[in-house]
Amino acid sequence: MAAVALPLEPESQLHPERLDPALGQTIQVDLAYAGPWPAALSWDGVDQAEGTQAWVTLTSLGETVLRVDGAEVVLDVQPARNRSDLIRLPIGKRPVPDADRACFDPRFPALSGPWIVACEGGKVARALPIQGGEERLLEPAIKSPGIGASGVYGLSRGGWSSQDWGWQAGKPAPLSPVAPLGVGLEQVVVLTADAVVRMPWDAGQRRALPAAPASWYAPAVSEQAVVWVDRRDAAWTGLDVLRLSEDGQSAQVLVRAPGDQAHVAASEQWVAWIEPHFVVVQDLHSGERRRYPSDTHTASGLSLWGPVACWEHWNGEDVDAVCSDGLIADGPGHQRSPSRYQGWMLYRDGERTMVATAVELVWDDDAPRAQRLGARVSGPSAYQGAWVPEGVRYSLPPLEGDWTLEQWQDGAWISLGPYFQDVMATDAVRAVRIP
Amino acid sequence: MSADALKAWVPQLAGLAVLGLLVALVVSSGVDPRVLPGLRGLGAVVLWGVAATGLGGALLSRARVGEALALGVGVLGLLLLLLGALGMLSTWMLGGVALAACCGWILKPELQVDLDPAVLWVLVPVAALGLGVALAPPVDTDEIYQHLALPKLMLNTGGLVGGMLTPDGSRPVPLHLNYTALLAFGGSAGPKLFHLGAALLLMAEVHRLGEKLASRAGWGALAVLVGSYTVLRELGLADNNLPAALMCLYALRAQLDNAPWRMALFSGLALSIKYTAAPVVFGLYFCDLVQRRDLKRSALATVLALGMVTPWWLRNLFEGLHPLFPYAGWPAGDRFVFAYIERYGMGRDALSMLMLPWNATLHGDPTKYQGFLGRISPLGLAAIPGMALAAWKARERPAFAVVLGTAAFAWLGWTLGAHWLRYLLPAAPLLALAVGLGVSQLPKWGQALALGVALIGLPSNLRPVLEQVQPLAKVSFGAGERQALLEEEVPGYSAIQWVNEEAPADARVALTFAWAGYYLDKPYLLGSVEDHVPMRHLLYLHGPETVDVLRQLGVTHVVSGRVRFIHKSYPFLSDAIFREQFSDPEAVWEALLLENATLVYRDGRYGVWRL
Repeated sequence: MAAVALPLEPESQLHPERLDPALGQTIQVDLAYAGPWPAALSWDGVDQAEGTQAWVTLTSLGETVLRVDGAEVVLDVQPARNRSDLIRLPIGKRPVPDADRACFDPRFPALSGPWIVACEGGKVARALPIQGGEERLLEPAIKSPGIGASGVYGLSRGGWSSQDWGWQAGKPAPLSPVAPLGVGLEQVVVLTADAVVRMPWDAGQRRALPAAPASWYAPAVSEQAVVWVDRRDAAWTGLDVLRLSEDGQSAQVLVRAPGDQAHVAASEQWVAWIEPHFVVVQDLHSGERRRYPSDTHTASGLSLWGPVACWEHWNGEDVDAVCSDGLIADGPGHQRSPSRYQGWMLYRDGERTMVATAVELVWDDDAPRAQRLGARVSGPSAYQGAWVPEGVRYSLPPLEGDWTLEQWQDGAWISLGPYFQDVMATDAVRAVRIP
Repeated sequence: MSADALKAWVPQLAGLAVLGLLVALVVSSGVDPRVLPGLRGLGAVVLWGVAATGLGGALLSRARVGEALALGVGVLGLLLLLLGALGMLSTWMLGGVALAACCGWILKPELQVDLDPAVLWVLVPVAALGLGVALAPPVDTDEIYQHLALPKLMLNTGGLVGGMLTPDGSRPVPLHLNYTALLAFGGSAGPKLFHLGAALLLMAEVHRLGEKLASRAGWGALAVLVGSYTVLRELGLADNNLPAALMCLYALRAQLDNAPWRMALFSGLALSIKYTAAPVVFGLYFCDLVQRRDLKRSALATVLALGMVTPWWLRNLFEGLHPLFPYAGWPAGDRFVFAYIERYGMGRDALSMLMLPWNATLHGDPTKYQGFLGRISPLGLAAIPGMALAAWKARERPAFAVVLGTAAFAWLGWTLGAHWLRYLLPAAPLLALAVGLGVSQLPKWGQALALGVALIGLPSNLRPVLEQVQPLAKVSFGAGERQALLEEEVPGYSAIQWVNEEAPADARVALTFAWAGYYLDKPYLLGSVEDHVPMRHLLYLHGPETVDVLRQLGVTHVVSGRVRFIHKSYPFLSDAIFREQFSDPEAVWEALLLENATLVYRDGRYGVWRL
């Protein structure tokens, strides 16, 4: 495997599993690290096997500062914590026969925003509105395009923007991609054997950064990040996840740890990847890394809507489609290839394409979209065993369709009226779909 | 050294000079890299051709160049069997064998070249067609799972391969051992160009023998060969049907020349290259016995012919297999047959058998099992009255009797087996000569009519060939992208490439429900034969333990395809048997992989799993 000269810079940020761990809780803390391996950090608790990861048990309340080689992070240790088990959301399921036809590329059918991108004759050729309505024919049909929330793109041809499914022709780009394309709102990312290439939708100006992308794993593109799976140090640490620096001039290590980190995804300020035994979602603003334990060995992708990740989970007998907010499609047989947007999850159940629709969405003070204004207090009638008297500010996502908002108070859901995005509450809130 | 002696060495020295020139061309840095694979292949063909002809010529002492080459190839196949059994198949050893075989030229064999220049008007365009395929990367299913995959695997492992886990290697492989050398010296273009040369030689020899038998019989025979899709599609591929046909032709020629030992040698070689030559060999021996009425001669010739095949049977026996494995089926009663002959053709009842010549000609379709998976020239049908006339004259012309009798046996043998037109190819020279004789016996107007019929059939036979050749020729001649062609045409190519590039250097691979072993640069197990039997058989033997069995065999990665067997392809099987033999094993394997392996790559129907 050829080594590629890559301008890597260590991040000055530590990444704790929780920014607000509970007293007595043990959390994992990672340091993005690009130096020689095995890591030789003057950090108590670092061992050769774990590399730049350490486990920290919190023993005192309030602010706790962790420092390693100039990098530091402040933890806000809480007196009470919510239970970590996933709350299972109530859902409705329905088949989508129009999207049942087999695709050459097993990543399809998939969601691009509120549209189901489906195939005809094996090629990606149709967009079906997930709420029903007039379908759009995608011409010319493409065998294996890149897909993102912003649309669908075929190298050397152009793409369809999911805004109106209008065709935007692209100039021929003589690139040999080693993985599916990453599609963002304004740019497309192509991974070649030795570079990460960014270009606008018209493929006019291409900017290449030397890298060693791993084949098969599509790059993740959001407005705030370009992330890819890199094999430069595969002999030492397996596959790692790299991120394009903000100025676009260099690559930064997002995670470099033993074992393979693969299947990246990005949405808003969050990026996610799959690593052995976990699905990890990182908040790029705070550096917090949420880890969801799972057996993901069958996974061929990862879907992300905001901080909500969806993946394939092996339950010991078969595969289920699972999301980190509790939207789960399980049952007999395999539920595979989940693709998430808002309250909808598209997945394959055997040879059928299905949509699971969340009847309600729940956020409590532990949610990535929540900002606590004080410490948690234990309470038997609190939604997950704890509440925040000073209040929690929720920045909720926009939701299509009709929803109402409720808050948890004294052991019951109390209506707050029609759905709105900026919410103050002392306990959990939930959105309920109006049938 | 006297002037005469020097003169005698001139051809050899000229040959060496040409070879040296080719080598110099290949190693020189100024050569366009796109031309290099072709030149390298050509160099390998010249080298191996000279070696085989030298060896064959030395053994025959006086012969046609083609006969010397064919015998040399057969004998080299047996020598390489020995080398392979000792695990000594390396490029250097093969080079040594080539050098040793070249020493045959020291015995100065008398070799004749007997070619009608007029035939070049046909052979040159045919060669151009074949070149487009031969210089392209291999994409034909039979090449990538067998004819080139086996040589590459033998080169990678240094010895013979075979047994339940690599059943393809348990077939007799004398030709494939020759391909191993050609592949080592010339890359994929080596065996492909060699095969193209053999095909052109076959056509030239059929024409020559036909003209010797009767005026215009050679042209008629040539017309039926170059007018048949099933023959043309083989040009430029590395295959074994036409080389087997060449051996059959030389066996016939030897019979007509009253040379029983040569007949026996070439018959045995034909059988060892392709068992579907058996009806031709049987017919030839029968005709020889009837004509010469010498039972002892026939018995000895039979022993000699079988002696050419016996080493392969013994090899299987030593490995605890049926001598005819894998053709005799897998050890599980009637569950795992080599191929379901009912799949092919338009029926096997008495009427269908009677109608076979008509149906095979009129309803041949290269894309359909019911269409005999091929197409042939209608000239054969048009020549039937002429063939009847030729049969009538057979008393006065014993050669007619041998050709027509052997062709009849060959046809009969084919009707009893799978109705796949490709299986008729070893008999192609016999059948073509029979048609040629038929044409030669027709009156002038009849010949004109037959020519018209042949021309009418030409577009439908040529069109599918051109459709297949076009994308390959584009790549061969620099107008297309090699990578794009492989991704488009080779099932699972991306998955195989992932293993080549991303899997650890010491990874050991199993190919399950996947064909493209040729493109795998690492040692592998299983792969596919007809109907993906190897994997289905392994699952039958080990059930849920199959993954553990593979792990114990050192397998670290699995390249697995999704076939999705459909019942209508096997309408003769009951629902229960179809499920038990086809759909259930595939579903079980998919479930076992999901449970026990980690998906590390997926492209279309193919995935790579780490065990």
